[in-house]
Amino acid sequence: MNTKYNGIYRYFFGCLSILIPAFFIALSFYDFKQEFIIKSALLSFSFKFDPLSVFFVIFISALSVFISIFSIKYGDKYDKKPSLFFYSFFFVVSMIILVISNDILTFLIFWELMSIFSFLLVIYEGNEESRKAGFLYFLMTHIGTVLITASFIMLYLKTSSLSFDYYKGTAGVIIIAIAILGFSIKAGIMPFHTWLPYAHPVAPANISAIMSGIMVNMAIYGILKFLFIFSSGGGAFLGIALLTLGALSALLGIMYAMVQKDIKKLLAFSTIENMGIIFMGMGVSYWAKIENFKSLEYLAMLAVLLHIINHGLSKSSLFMGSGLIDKYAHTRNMERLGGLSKKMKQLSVLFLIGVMSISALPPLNGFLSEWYLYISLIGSVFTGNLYMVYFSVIAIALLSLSGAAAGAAFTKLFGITFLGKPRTVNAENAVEPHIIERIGLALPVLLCVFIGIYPYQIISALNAVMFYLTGGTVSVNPLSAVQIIHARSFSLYAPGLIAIAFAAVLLILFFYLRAFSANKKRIFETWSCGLDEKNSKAQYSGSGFSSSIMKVFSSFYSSVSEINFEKDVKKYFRLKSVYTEEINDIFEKYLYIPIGKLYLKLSDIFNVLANSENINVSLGYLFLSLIVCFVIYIFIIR
Amino acid sequence: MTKILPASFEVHINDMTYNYNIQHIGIGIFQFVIIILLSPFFAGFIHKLKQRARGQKGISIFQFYINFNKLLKKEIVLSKDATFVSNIAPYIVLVSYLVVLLMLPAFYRYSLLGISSDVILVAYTFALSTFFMTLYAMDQGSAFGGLGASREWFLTVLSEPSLIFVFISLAIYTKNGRITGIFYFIQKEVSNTFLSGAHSNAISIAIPFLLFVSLFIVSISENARIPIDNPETHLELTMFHEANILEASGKHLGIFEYGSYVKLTVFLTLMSLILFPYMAVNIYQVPSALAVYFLKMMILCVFIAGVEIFNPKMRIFRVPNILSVAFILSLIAMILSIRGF
Repeated sequence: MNTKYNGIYRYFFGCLSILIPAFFIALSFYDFKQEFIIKSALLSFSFKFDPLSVFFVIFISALSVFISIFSIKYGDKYDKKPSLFFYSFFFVVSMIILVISNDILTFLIFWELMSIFSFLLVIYEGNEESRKAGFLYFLMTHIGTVLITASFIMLYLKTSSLSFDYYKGTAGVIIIAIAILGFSIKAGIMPFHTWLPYAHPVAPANISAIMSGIMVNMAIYGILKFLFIFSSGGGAFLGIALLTLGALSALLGIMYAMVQKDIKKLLAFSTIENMGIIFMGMGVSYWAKIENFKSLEYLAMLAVLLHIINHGLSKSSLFMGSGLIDKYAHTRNMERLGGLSKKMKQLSVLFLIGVMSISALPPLNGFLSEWYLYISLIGSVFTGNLYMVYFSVIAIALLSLSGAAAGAAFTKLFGITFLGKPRTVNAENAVEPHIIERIGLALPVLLCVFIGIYPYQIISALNAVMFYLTGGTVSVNPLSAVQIIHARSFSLYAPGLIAIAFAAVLLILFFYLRAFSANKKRIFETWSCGLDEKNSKAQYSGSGFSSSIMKVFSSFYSSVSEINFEKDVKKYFRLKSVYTEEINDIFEKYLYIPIGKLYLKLSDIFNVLANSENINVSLGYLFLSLIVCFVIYIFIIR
Repeated sequence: MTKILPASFEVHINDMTYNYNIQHIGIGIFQFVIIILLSPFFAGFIHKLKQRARGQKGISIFQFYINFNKLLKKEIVLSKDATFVSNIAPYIVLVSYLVVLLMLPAFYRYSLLGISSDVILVAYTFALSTFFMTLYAMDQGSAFGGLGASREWFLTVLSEPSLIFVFISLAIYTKNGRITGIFYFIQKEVSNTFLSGAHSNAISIAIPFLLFVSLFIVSISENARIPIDNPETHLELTMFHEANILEASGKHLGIFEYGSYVKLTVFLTLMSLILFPYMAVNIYQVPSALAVYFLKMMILCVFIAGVEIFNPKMRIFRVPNILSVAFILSLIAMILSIRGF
């Protein structure tokens, strides 16, 4: 291939993946009511724009436009293997079509296309790590697909129709439970999350941004569809189960995020946390729907929809930022970075805002959706239902713990990566990213700030989706209070007002200090106990930062750490000592690896049994299988 | 399958009934300014008490005002490695405490930001200040900074759940999500009970007491007080808060120090409001409410000083024990307040 024209794929697919999503955004603003059906000889596809799909189409398209703008420049390091741009374009398009599909076959085909394209993108780099991650991802995502397909087949058997139109209010508890199980694997909810922290970091950064910011939300789309549209009403315990699963993932996700060294791995675990938060909102909302606490349902749904947007925006911007760090400082390991803020000033400002948004700090958007979730959890305490009170108190505790831990994790991420002294030469030689990359990153960050300060526009737009899902809306008056009448309780967070208060106090303070203080400044070295040595390794490391928290919550981790010395040297003057630390996922260690081992053992046994040379044994198997088929026919099918 | 709606549980999102008029705004500003002015005094008072109890002569009660003024006059020495974070962090740390202060109804019911004084917002605003303080610590590339940041988050991760639980149990107990509403409710119920002599079901002594103890422990840990931290020493083994601001100098150090006084005052005010809420509702009650507020704060200062005198500093990994006590207490309080309905 001629190297001169390599960039052309990038530009072509870059522009295409800006234009096609933009086209879909325009399409979704046009109020289509009818169903589109594309018929061919073998298959018929049907599509429909309902408010939920419109919301997701706009969400996916807008985010992928930002990411495409970013990738137009960022992608130049992948020019040698331009299949990336091809795959990522179809990945995005399959997700957009997925959310507007209106029958089982269309949904499953595009769900599968999405999974396959994302799988191809995960193994794009082609090294050992990415192949391993890709395999795990492929396996897990197909277990999920099997479960989803099973639930769809059960729906089909129940209604004898393929179209989603006929499913409204038909799905029973078991169908929903199976579907939720299937979708949770895609969402990376805690017991089923093992693939996520491997698959998201190994993909190229723009793909990680799509996977973490957009793709995991497809699972949320599926669950919303099952819970609020297909559900026949029943199974309040499903809501509580979702709440519990969500709280578990919110806490454990961020606890694992805190101890990571790889920036992208930290962000991947933080995705698990945020999916947990969304699950908690869905759980409360579904429970309230079944128990007929209408307004609680609306409130929790608002939290869910807002958090989808907020998490998508901040997470994709952070993943893009991590890609830029990787590209310009040549490593993703925090322990080898540091001091990037001096070299990449604008990137660090954008990254700081993204970090603040995702750790839910007040005037920004992340706090808004968490606040709505807190209020709906308090509301579910007020309902007085025994189980819900019990579980929501636990959920409040876990959510507050995960909120604080998110602060710690992202302080570590920003502080170790961007502040202090550069720890390696690579970090020292980093340069400011290209303007197009910065623009692609800045757009979602600006939206974060905008939603944080002035969310009323977004909330009023979300009302249409909420009305479709729950049959209710919330008012969007800037100075309106969330009031829970049963308890005469009301509270209010007026984001704009708080932002104004921050700005006003800041200005007064600034001018006061300007008037009454000396404005002298001297730049000098950091005090290092009188030592003259300029050793940047003497700074606090990332693992040191989180070690004390890790020690207290040690039951969450299974970690192994050891220090290796060279034996013969004097005790206090060792030239070299090696410290290794390995932090394992408890689920992986105690659940997945034993299952894998069991599977391998069983396969060995079957292997021995099946590969028998003796013809009589083979005939015996044939006879046995016939008997089994017969038994199945007699007792199950007939 | 329709169900009968249980009770009239509704979440309404309606207009506020929080009328601002010129009197509210005027007294609100007065309240804000006077607490800011008083906060170094409270810190100084605690310091003086401690020093007297140890048999030292001690600095003047007003020494912290003098220190602040002196620090403003000094030049700032910034590290070579410092970035924009060092220049904005001190301001944001102080401003987030001041914004919390704007919400507190210390002695007047209608605080300036009372309309948006949600309890969770208060807790997360503290997290904002911690976030920027620890970023400041890590900005200079000093090992002490990282140590301080790590320990500060260690404490915050343990104490923030208790803080949020204290707030949420208050919210559930009083059926009100706003700080202003919460304390006004307690005040009204307490005065009703005292004036009529009849025991009302709405008010209980156990819940505020448990929350007070829990908040007391959280305040000690958040404000770097002795059993947990000792800000008077600069020994790297014991530093929590001081390690964060070790590199700060001049104006920045002044702002950080003032921020810690304001934070202490905010926590003391919260405790004083749980202990004995007395807020003025009109301009005529303001002098008496201010006097009572001042008295309560003095008593709490004596409490804090007493704890600091009679306790040695703890080992860092014993801190989780005492903070989990705070958490358990607030959990019990929450269960008690849920029992109410």
